[in-house]
This record gives sequence, structure tokens and C-alpha cells, in this order.
Amino acid sequence: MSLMYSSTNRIKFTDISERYAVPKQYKAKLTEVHGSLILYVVNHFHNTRSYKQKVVNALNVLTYCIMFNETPPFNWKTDNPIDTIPPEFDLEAIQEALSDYWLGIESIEWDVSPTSDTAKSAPNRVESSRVTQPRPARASTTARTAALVQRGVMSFTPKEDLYIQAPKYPLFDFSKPWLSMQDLQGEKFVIYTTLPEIPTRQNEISATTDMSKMTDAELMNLFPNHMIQTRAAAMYEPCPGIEYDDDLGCIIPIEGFTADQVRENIIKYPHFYKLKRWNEDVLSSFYHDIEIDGELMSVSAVWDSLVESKVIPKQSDFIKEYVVRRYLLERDAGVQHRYEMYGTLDPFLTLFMPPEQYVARGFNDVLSISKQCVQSRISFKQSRNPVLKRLNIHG
Amino acid sequence: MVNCIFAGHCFEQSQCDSSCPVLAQTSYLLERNNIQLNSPVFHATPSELRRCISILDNSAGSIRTVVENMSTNALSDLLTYCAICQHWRGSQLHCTVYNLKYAQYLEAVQKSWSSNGDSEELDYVKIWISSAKVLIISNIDFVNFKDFQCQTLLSLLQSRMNPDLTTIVVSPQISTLVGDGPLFARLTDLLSKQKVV
Repeated sequence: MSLMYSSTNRIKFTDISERYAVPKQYKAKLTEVHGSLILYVVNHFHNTRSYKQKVVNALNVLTYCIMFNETPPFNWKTDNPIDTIPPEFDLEAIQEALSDYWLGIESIEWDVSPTSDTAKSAPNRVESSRVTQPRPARASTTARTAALVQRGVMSFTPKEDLYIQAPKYPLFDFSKPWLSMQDLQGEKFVIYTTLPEIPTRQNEISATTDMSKMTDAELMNLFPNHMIQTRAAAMYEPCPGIEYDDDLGCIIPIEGFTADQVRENIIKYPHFYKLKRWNEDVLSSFYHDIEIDGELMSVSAVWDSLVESKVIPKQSDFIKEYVVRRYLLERDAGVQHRYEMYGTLDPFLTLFMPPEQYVARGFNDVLSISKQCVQSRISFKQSRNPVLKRLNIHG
Repeated sequence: MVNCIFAGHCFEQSQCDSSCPVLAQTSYLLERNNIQLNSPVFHATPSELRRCISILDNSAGSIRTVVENMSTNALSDLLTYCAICQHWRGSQLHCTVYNLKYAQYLEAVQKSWSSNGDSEELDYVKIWISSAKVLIISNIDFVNFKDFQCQTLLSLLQSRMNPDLTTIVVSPQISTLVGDGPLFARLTDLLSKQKVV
């Protein structure tokens, strides 16, 4: 068994929710439950070994429950996620089951400070100096924590809220058909107004959303309350020769554009999902081909001749990233492509960090960014909606 | 008429051909469970949804009883809808989620005694009872539990004791169930023990 994280390869405690490398299918749920636990610990941290052990046990039990389809402990509560883990769990069996994914105290870099209350109350139980000096939590987490506590909200925004796909439990108002029409063959199609009419999450925005009904507060509510990694997982691993941003991940080089331009492009377009383009009357995957000087070429055929291929790993996630990023940078710089993307892809389709972090990166008008998000999503869905296409209506 | 619950969000295909797997699988399960598009399940409140999702999560792979003071029908429909949303993908038109209206089921079983064997419809119901990944049992508030009614439900629950299957009995307050006899005591005892809050 080789642990993914160990004393020589530690993971920051506040990064566990986002960066703990677990299989994709469990990531969203684990991000949510680990997020609740981290939020709680940041506010109640004791710098003692026994407290850390309890935290680590809770993390491992929750990971086990999610990964092995076990029901989380019945009394487990997000507002007290440590003490509501019942002691009867067999930690040895869980360690065996989790194998590489098991976390120990030493495999975590405890970048959390004891809260003032706990620091005063337990001066004699502070660990010896061999343990890494705790560092303050990341600014993004602590600021958000304060706001969350103020608002009485106790959990991080789950990643699913940012999905472009439909919500898992679609809701609509049967009494409000948004569109009801027959096609040329006389077949009738109906699209009902989706609910909630005022989206509370980004993934609730649909082709039927009417942004004019949303107040500024409702628009601002669409921002997540913490930074969420939305790019392919490979983008968040430092890569030799490629600039790396702690929050944005790899800033891949693209000839003709500066790193700052690429960085800005990543903030505007942090996520790609099922992009396509027309190629000789066939709708094909956008990532399969690349348009160079007005000619569409297979990426695999030309990859080695691209200057950037000397630095960018020849892996599908990086190739996809390069093809789309280059297209978007060119498009936004005014280049008219012969083979355009199918449907629209406008900026800020996905808001992936809290508003204050957009401001910190120079995007000061956060309200207009949230409006742009709603417009981009409506446009994204209308321009690709199969019913509208069938009825020959162009969103 | 083409009614798809994902219509407002869909961008899966270049053109709707009214027969994509998403539409086929969801429509099949909704139809099988008599959930029409005008059903209240499609405008459930976030708290109602959260409650049902939590019940389903806490019941996975086991047999549970949910006690509902208001409408057991509304709750069983919403539980069924949530379970469909969780299990439609890849169901390949198998009835992975089934809401068994127990009172009607008993009626159909009793009717079959006077005819030559089970009707095709009853045969299917029996198949879905045994194979559905998620079985919701509702309408027990309309049953007078004598030995037969108790025995049928107890043996049905026993047949569902499989960690791959989830069974949820939606019941009014258990003390309000109507019935008598030793099996009734055993049934109410079992339902009380499996209660999910």
C-alpha cells in the first residue's frame, strides 16, 4: 500500500475539500461533506494531537461512507461533524478499505490556527515543535467562513451547483408552457418554464430563465462561497515548464498571447463541457480538430508540429485545453474562424469563485459578471436546445 | 405530444428526435409510476426535496418506514420521483423504481383467486416488486390488516432483504394502522423498528 498522502507528501488541511485526489465519481459528494467538516474545524480548531486524531477519523469515516455506498452515520450533523461520528466504526477495517486514500495526521499540513477560545483553554496540550507550525487558513476560506457564520449558512457551495447539465431533480411549472409548438410533421413539442423561476444556483438557469425578473441580490447569490476547481483535474497539478497559479492551475503557453491574457481567459472561461463544431455537415467533437489559418486539421496529426507541444504534455486534457483556449483567445481578439463552435460560449458561463476574489483579480464589477453568467447560460442552452433546433427556432 | 422533464435544460443532441435515451428512460419510469406532468412533484419545494433525498440516502440497501402525518400519497409520489431521478440513467427501460400501491395490489391478488391465474398486469407488478432497485410501498393506510394482508406484506419485505435493494414503506402514524392478530403486532413492530426520521 502506498499512501497518496504521507509525511513527505502532505496535503494542506484547507485544500482537502478541493484537492484530495479521489475517483471522479465521488468527488462532488466528498467535496461537500469534507467542506462542511473543514468549515467547522477552522472555527473550532485545537492544536492538539487528540483533536487532530478526531478530525482525521471523521474525514476517513466520511470518505469511506461516500466511496463504499455506506449510509453516513445516522446522527452525523454538519454543524458538529466531529463529535457526531459514532465511536463504533472499525477504523482498521476502514483503513484497509480506503487503502491509498487513507489520511493520517502526518499526511496533513495543518494550515489552521487555533481559535482564540480554544487556544486559551488548552495551553498545556499544544503539540511539540516537531509538528509543523500551523499557518493561518487561506484568506479565501476565513473571509468566507466569517460571512457564512454571519449569514447562518454552514456549508460550502457544492460543485454540482456550477454544473451546466440539468439539475438532478428537474422542476417545472406545468401551468406555464414557455413554448408550445408543432413541427412541420405536426408533432407537438412543449417546454415548460423551469423552476425555481428565480435561479438560486447556476445549474438552475435554463433556456426558459428570464433574467429581468432577478434582483441584484438574487444575481449575486449565484456566486459560490469558496473557490471551486472547474478545470480538468490535470490542470491543477504543476507541470515542468508551464506557469502555475495556485488557484487557477496550469497557465498553458499559447503562441501570440501573454500568460496574463491566458490567465484572464481562464477566469472568463473556466470550464468546457461537450463542445462541438460543424465539420462538413457533421457535428463533431470540438477537441478533435484544430483550425489553423482557416484550415481544419486533426489535432493528433499536427500536434507535434505546434511550437507549444514541446512544453505541453501530450495528454488529452491538455490537448483539449489548448485547442479550446487557443480558439477562444483568437475569437475574442477578433479572429473570424471558418469553422465556428456549435452554439454560443460567452464569458462567465461559470462563476467559480466568490465575488471578492474576482475583485482581487481586477474584475471589479461583480454584479455585471453575475448578469453575464445568467445571460451566457441562457444563451448556451437556447443556442443548443434540441427542441428549439427541431422547431427551427434559434435562441 | 413530446413532454420531456429535461426540455428546458437539454443540450444533448443537435435536434430532438423524440426518442433519445434520456426521454425514453425517464418517460417510461414516470408512466410506470403514474406520475403525470401536472403532478405536484414537479414543483416540490427545496425542503420537501431535501427531505426525500435524505430519506432515500438513509434507506439505501435496507428496508425503512417513513411516517407521514400529512398526505402519504404526496410523499410516496415525491419519493418515487426523486428515486427515478437517481436511477433512470442506464435503466434501459427496466422498472428500476416502483411505487407499489399496496391496497390496490391486494385487491388485484384477491381478484386473481377467482380467475384462472394472475393477469399479465399482476405478473408484471410481481416482477417489479422483486426486481426494482427502489420499491416504495404506499397506500397501507387504506388496508384492514388481517392475517393475509399482514403475511403478504411481511413476506414481501422479507423478499426484499438484499443489500442491493432499497424498500421504503410510507405509512401514517403506525398506531393509526387498522388491523388485529399476532401478525399485525409483528408487522407494526417491524415497521416501528425500521423507522427513519
